[in-house]
Amino acid sequence: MAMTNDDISNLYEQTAPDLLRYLARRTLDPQAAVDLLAETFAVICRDRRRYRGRPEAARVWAFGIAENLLKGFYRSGKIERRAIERMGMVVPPMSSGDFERIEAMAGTESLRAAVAEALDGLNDAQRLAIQMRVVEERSYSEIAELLKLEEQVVRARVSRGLKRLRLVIENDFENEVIEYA
Amino acid sequence: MHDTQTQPEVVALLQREIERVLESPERSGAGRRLKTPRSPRGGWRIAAVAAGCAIVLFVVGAVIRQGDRTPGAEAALADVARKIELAPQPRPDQFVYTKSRDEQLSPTPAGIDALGRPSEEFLSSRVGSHESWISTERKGRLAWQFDLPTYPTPRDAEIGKRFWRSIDESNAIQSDPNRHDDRLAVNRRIQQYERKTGITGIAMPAPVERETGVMMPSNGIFIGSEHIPTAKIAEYPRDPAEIYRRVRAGAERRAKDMHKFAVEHPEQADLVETDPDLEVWRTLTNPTGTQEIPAPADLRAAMVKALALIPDVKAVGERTDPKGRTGPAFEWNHHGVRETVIYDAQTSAMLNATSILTDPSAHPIAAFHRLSPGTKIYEYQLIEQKTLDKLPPRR
Repeated sequence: MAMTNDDISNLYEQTAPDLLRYLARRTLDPQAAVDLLAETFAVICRDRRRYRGRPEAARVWAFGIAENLLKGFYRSGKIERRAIERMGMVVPPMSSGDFERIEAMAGTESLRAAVAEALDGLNDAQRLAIQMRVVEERSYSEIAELLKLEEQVVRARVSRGLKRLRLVIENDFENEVIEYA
Repeated sequence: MHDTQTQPEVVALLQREIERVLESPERSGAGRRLKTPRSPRGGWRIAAVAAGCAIVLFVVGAVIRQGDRTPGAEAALADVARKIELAPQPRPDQFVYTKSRDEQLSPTPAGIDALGRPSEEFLSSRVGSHESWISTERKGRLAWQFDLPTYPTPRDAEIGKRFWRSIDESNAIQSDPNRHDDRLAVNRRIQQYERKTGITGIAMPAPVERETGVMMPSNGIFIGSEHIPTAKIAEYPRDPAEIYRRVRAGAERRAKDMHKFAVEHPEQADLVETDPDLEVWRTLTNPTGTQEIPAPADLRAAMVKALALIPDVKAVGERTDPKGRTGPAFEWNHHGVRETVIYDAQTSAMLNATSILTDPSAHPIAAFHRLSPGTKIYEYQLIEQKTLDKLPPRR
């Protein structure tokens, strides 16, 4: 049965805070998280007549939409707004306190701190390789040339460094596993 | 029920907006065919690790970049400027030793036809190494050497080497490091080239295996095209807005002259650049003017702050230079070029500056249009800088 306006409103009330926290922890950017939340629900509004699941399972659907939008965000660095524009939705601006409240509810400071501490724990060579690969987006061959190393060595440094950091992030996200009845 | 008191306001505002959209029939999507969403399964756990590598890369990158905490250019440049003023300053009796290297890609007409138009041209990079020992009173020593030029393509190398061989090398002047008139030697070679080709202002010295010159530094500093005598440096403005205005005004006058030159010499029109903001950028990031000839710290700091007044200058967080040094970096994109400057994280010395072609076809110099995106057209590298109590003996 298609979702009614009340179904969507209830879904939002029950899901939005968790979804916002989920998005904020994965973007480390409160504004991006709000925009992704808005696009998620714009998609839900647009596609509600096609939803055929139970109302209580709509939460899973919402998280699935959000996860797909996140993947697009990681790939392109941009937030999809097609549904927002199609529905004529206006994303409200954040107030001066919203930024801090979203960071507080999402605990992004502690995640940042944990990753920063893990970064400090890497040796200088791994940290530099990760900085050049992940932040400066240089190719492995460019890094190898700049650091006068074999490309394989650069790949190994990045890979080992990221493995250690992945453990921190995965350990942190384990606390957020979302269960459905 | 959620505790709305701790919820961000925007969550409630967004709910109202969603309800407004749902109530609005023209936006409800009635009657439109839409893609069927995948049927969600109930009762399964979405583990965060399912997003895998993408999350790790993103989160790590965001933490290193400090995510949305990267300050705008103005704040970041103010921080760079503050460190200039906090860094230890040399005493009047001390000398600042600087070793640096730069390379500049430029076109050279390799021949002219009967109408004075270039019949052939090549691109080459003049690669120069510099050393200077200069006090705040402008006393000291400068030494430079030019290596043989490098060429971006084999075609440029073939034309360039043929061109230099055709210049009369019997007049080549060997440099003596102890002479003080080697600038005359270089100028004499440029004049010779001008006489032969009739082309002025574009030539480079004919390369010899090594060319070393030593000369006395000037009695002031150049800021843009303005020469400020040592005695007048204290009077030069320290307000970034006034510095920007003054440098830009000089650049606009020069741009008019260059434009006039290009009109009078259409065969060389493709070889001139006339963007005043480009000249402002080059002036404010000029290593000689800003750090090798030691200008007062407050003036250098003000010049760094003035960079924020060039439209579209961006702070891009930390970058690593080719020597592996990491520091705050700034970028400015213009005419198919990305300018980047990296400062030392502690002292704000300018470590590295590059100009990289991002869209060769957009560059005003037509000779660059055949190059690939990513080609470097300029680089400055600070190799070493320290303060000495006295001048070392001449080599």
